[in-house]
Amino acid sequence: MQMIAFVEIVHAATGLVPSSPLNTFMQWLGRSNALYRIAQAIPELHANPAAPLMLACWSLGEVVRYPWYAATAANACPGWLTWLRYSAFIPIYPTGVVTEMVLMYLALPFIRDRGLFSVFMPNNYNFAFDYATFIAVVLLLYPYLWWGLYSTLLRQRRKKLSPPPTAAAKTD
Amino acid sequence: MAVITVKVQSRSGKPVTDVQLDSTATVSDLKKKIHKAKSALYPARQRLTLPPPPGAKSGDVLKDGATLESVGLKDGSVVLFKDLGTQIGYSTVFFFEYFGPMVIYPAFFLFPQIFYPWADKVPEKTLVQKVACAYWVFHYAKRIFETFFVHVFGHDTMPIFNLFKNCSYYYGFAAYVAYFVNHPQYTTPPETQSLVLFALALIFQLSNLRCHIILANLRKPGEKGYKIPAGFLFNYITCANYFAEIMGWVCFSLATQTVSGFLFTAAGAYQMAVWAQGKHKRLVKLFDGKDGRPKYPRRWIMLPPFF
Repeated sequence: MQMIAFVEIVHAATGLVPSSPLNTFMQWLGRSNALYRIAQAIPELHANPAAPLMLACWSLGEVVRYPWYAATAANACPGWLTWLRYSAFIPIYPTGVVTEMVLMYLALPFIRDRGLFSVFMPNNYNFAFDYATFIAVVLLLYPYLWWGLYSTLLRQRRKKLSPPPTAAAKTD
Repeated sequence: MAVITVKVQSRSGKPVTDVQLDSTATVSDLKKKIHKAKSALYPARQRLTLPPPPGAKSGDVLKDGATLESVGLKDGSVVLFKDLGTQIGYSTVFFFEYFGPMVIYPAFFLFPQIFYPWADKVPEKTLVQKVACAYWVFHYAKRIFETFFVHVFGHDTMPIFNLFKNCSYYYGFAAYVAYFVNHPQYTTPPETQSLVLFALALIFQLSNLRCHIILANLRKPGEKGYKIPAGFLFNYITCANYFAEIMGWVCFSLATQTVSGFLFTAAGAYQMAVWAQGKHKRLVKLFDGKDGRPKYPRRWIMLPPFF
């Protein structure tokens, strides 16, 4: 599913949906990393409650978003759905991001031990990549990048919901 | 000769100051008068434009040498003012952004015990590593030399933020490239191959210098405005200087056989491609072959045979 979600970037880039392709790409990249290279690659993390919680947050977000797309496209979007689409993210999004960060943090010792996704010297390309260090830097940047996306959503919320929800639903 | 009053306003319409001066005065005189009224706003910080004509977003920028009459400013005319922020000289920025790499790279070469503290033993540097270090230092020494003795800058200053931005870029990449080339576990490529590539890189650097000399001599002293560069590689490529620079770094990256070198080359090439496209478009638009203007010849933008 996460691989299929790549088409969202294409949708944004082609103007099919009005989202910014860069933001969509960042979210896709962040989630793919958390899913394929952290949660899936390290079996010890499966038992941690953060793993199912992370997936639940992602899914809940989409369960609201896609019906809203469908209803809007059919020109039959009820006001409460629009309200939900622009409100549900307020608790879901930070929870999802915190669980992603918890998993990444817990993954660090495993990545280091096993040398996961890392490249070591010596090699013919004289290149090295330490995935654990990379994740540590990503963890530092995450809150900053997350706030960029979250504030964009908050701004959209103000724009969409400032006229009464019913009116907003009609103009969409 | 008549004394006129020019109203200086911010772009949101807030009055900055009113200036009285001769109608034969220049824009540069106007900036000096504004500086007199507002001591923080020295002329290099000021950007003056005419109010936008109906339907347009912005008006023409007032160039320093132009007289007020020639740009149509009369008594009571409005001029829009923008504060460009604290300014810093071009050569100052260039010196710092090039001096850093010239010191950072040899530091990795000379003091491996500081940068690779985990290494039990540091093998002696191979000839390729020595030549790479010498080449790197030569390159940045050349850039500093050009800054003071070759380049003619179109502007004198830039916003001070650029100093921090450019220095982070150059210092960061210098450390990133130097880290791998001077690494205790560096794999040295075949020596002859590397030396031939370094020699090629040096030829490209000297070609780049020649391009810069051609550009510096493009305008006669005091002359302003755009000209069509010609001679040497400029007969084929609009930004021949960038072409030589990029090819020099491609050769360096091949000679040292480093991915980090190629990442540095790619980052620089991308930025230069953006500049080159802008310059090419400007020249093609300006030299359209109409009304006695020469026609801009068909040329590659920066990187034949692709771009």
